[in-house]
Amino acid sequence: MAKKITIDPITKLEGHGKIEIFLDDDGDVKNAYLQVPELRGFEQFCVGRPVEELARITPRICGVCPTTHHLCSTKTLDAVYNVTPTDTAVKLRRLINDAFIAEDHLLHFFFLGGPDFVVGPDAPPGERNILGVIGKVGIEIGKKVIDMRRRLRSIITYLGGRVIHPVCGLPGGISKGLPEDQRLAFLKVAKDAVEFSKFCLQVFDDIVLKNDTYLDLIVGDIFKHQTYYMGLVDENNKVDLYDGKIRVVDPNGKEFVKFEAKDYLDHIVEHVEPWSYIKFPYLKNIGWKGFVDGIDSGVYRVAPLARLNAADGMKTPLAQAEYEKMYATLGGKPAHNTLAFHWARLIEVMYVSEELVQLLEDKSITNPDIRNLPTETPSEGVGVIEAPRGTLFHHYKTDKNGMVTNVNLIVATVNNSAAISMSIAKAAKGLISKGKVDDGLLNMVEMAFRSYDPCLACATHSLPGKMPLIVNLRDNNKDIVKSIRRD
Amino acid sequence: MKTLVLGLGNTILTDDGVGIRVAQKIKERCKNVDVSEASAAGFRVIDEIIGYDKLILIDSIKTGKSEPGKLHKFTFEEFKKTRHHAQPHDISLFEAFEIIKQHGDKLPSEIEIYAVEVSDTSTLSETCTMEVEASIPKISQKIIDEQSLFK
Repeated sequence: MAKKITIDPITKLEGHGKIEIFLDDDGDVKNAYLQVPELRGFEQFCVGRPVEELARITPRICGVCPTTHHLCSTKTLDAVYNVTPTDTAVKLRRLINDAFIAEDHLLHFFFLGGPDFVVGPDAPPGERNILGVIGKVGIEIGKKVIDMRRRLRSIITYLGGRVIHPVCGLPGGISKGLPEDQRLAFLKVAKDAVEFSKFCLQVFDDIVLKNDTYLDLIVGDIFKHQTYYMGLVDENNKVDLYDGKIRVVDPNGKEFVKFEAKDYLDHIVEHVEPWSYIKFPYLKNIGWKGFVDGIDSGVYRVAPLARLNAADGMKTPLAQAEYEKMYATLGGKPAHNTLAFHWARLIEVMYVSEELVQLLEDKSITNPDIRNLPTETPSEGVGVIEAPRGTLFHHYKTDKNGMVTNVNLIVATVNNSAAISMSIAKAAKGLISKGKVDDGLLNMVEMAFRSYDPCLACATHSLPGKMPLIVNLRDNNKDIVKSIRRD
Repeated sequence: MKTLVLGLGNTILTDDGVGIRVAQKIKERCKNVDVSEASAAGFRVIDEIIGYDKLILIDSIKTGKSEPGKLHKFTFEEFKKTRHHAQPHDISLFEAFEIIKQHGDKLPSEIEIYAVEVSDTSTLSETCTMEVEASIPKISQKIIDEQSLFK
């Protein structure tokens, strides 16, 4: 007789993310789910405000990617007011976006996800952190990472007013321009970032790719899903992190659809489950078939690996060479290996660093025409951008006075929520059998989870930075047999 | 001695923003003091504090054992074994401190941590709950007096 699993609605998940793993009669994993508490009322909070305030409010959803929300909100304001930003403003916004993605990806690789590889998944937890990484690669490198991030962030501080919550975006442009002396100073930072990217990819090569155990983990089955992939591309179908059209490819790599931001509701629908407040977007025209992958399931993925899968290449030469190397190693496009998100992340650092050099070598970035004033009556607009963690959509509706009447956000990580649940389930199934649980379980499950660099705060417009994780193992009667806490 | 007052929190989450509100009040009253605000944690805050000799941190806390609006004071050592952030995005401020110290950057040698007892940090609102809101002027004055910030 099939056992139906129902999970009670969450009543009080205050501040805890939970992974629930359900066992069947034989003690094998039947399913696993990621549950996240939601912060409700975000839309109500925004309604009735002047729409420009959203560029200040939406970054407060999360203290980690506020820059991305700010830029996406600014692009949405362009759309709401039907105003085109000046070329110089677009270049400056791209500059901020690239600097942010570089420093954020570096933070993730060295301090958060990277330790899984650089130190090793079997290393004791005390070592599986940045101190362990520095121990392995040398203390000089630790200094370089910290220094590189600081210098990249100085670009954002200068143009954005503040680095943690920049405030420079305006409908039709940007509030501050770049003088010549700063252009030259930042050009030096950009060139050093390119060199640093080469170093990071070398680290990945030496420590990860040349190690058979890690390579097996990357290409192995436990961390693999054949999903659709989504990302922004330019007119040549090359990866673009600031603007372009949204392209989706199927699990075989064939283009499924390419659409503009304003049409997102024709293509993306959010599925709701009673046991989690996180929503599960899927491709409308394929349909929701459950937490499964494959060409008949509407589940798709976003973020670094997905972006590289959805595109035909990188715009810049060094990144393109790395892109080709990655796919040659992984056996072609698209790559379905979840752990390869880390590799793709480093390739993106290379791309944005090269683009920073290109933007800053062009003297026209110092032009004073940084804004077109809006003249039309505001009504409705959609903005899209690629956050470090995936495609981000902001959608605002206003009355004719520019007061918000409706807000909808599809936030990066939430696009991956179905895939994250699936990755957790698959990892758990591979590690638990006959009720025997290895202590390495939490880490392997977290490895699946960490590859996505998920931002649960953003995904649920939820409590930022307060997410200790609990993994509960439940038997066939839903009683907890083991609970592992990370808090 | 170069001192920085740093308010931490999220100003759209009701009481979660009290750290920043108190810091802003201190700035109003002591124009010559360096005051900063941050709605982030761990590594992202480190850049703000390098170069100062003394750091006064102000944040919110929910011990559940005091009335909302009460001011707690902690030492840095008390937080060494703090809640580990499993949000795979960041490390705790205290771990970040350790890392930076190992790289020879000049971190504040004196750190004072103030935390205001709060009740609601999950409702969206730009103002704090009544008792917490009412406590802001008194708390800021207490910190100013204790730390001799007014010159």
